[in-house]
Amino acid sequence: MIDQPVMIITGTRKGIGKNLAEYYTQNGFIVIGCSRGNIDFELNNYEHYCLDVSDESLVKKMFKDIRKNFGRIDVLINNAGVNYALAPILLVPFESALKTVKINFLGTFIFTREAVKIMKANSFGRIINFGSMALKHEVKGEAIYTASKAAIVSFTRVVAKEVYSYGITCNVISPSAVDTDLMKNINSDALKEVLSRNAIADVGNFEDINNIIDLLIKPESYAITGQTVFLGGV
Amino acid sequence: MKEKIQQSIFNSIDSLNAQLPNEGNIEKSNNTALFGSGSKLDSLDLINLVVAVEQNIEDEFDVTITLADERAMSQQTSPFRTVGTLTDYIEMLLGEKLND
Repeated sequence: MIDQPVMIITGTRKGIGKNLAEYYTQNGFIVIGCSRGNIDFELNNYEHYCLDVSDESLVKKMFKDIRKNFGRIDVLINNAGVNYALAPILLVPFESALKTVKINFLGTFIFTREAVKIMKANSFGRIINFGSMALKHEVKGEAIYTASKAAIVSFTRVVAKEVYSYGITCNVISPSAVDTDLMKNINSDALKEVLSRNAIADVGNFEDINNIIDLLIKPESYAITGQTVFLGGV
Repeated sequence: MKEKIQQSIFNSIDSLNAQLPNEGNIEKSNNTALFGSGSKLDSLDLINLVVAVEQNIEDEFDVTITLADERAMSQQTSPFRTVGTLTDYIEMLLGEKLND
């Protein structure tokens, strides 16, 4: 087993995931990231896998490599998320709903299951799943996306109870809107209206997310588990 | 192949026994019950054993398998009943994987 802590982050090609990969490789971690498409950046202490997070067979192969090469996983950040079903439900194709649920929720499940198998051997682990402010605002046109995030919250609360005896915590962070590709398809007036419901009416930034993850992954945060932390005063 | 699979299961039992009190020691034999009546393993022990067996099989054969797959969970007679039935089940899974 290597001495350096190992972090897995899903969805690192761009946006929040890429920022997290940059931040944590600069802060002592070996980061293993993944995305469906190729990446256009290089980082020290970073390895990348091209895969769909809901492809169980490829994900298992990735974890096999990690166990063999590093022998440990300290942190898993289930960041990969999509919204293929941004429309009133009467207009949502079944396939779009299925793809959204597979990547957002089932991807989180597969990565969590495989990570826990390795984390438990070292009696330590921190799992961070991504929710959304949509969970509280219940925005029209986001029924499938919101439901997939609600599933992540329920999943996290149950998993937290199942894995605590292994020294593993599992929490959800729900950032406010952050300027990423996921936001491009959202009408700017609608976004403004939703943000105006928050205590902080501006979009959030990457540093806010780094800050809360720094707190949750500390060994001293062993008692914080099964929780959802909203950013932006939602 | 069968002996290598059985040895992987025995190695996993060794790891599990190292964590159990002496009176809970699991015997390394084909007939040892792992699940259901006659098993000394509680649900947590079984989870730990299944994970250890998956990892030992990965190391031994360089393929990934999921023991708790849909077939295993839906079979009327669980493949986790004994060391022997688990060996047979893994042999079948590996046969499928290695012939892919």
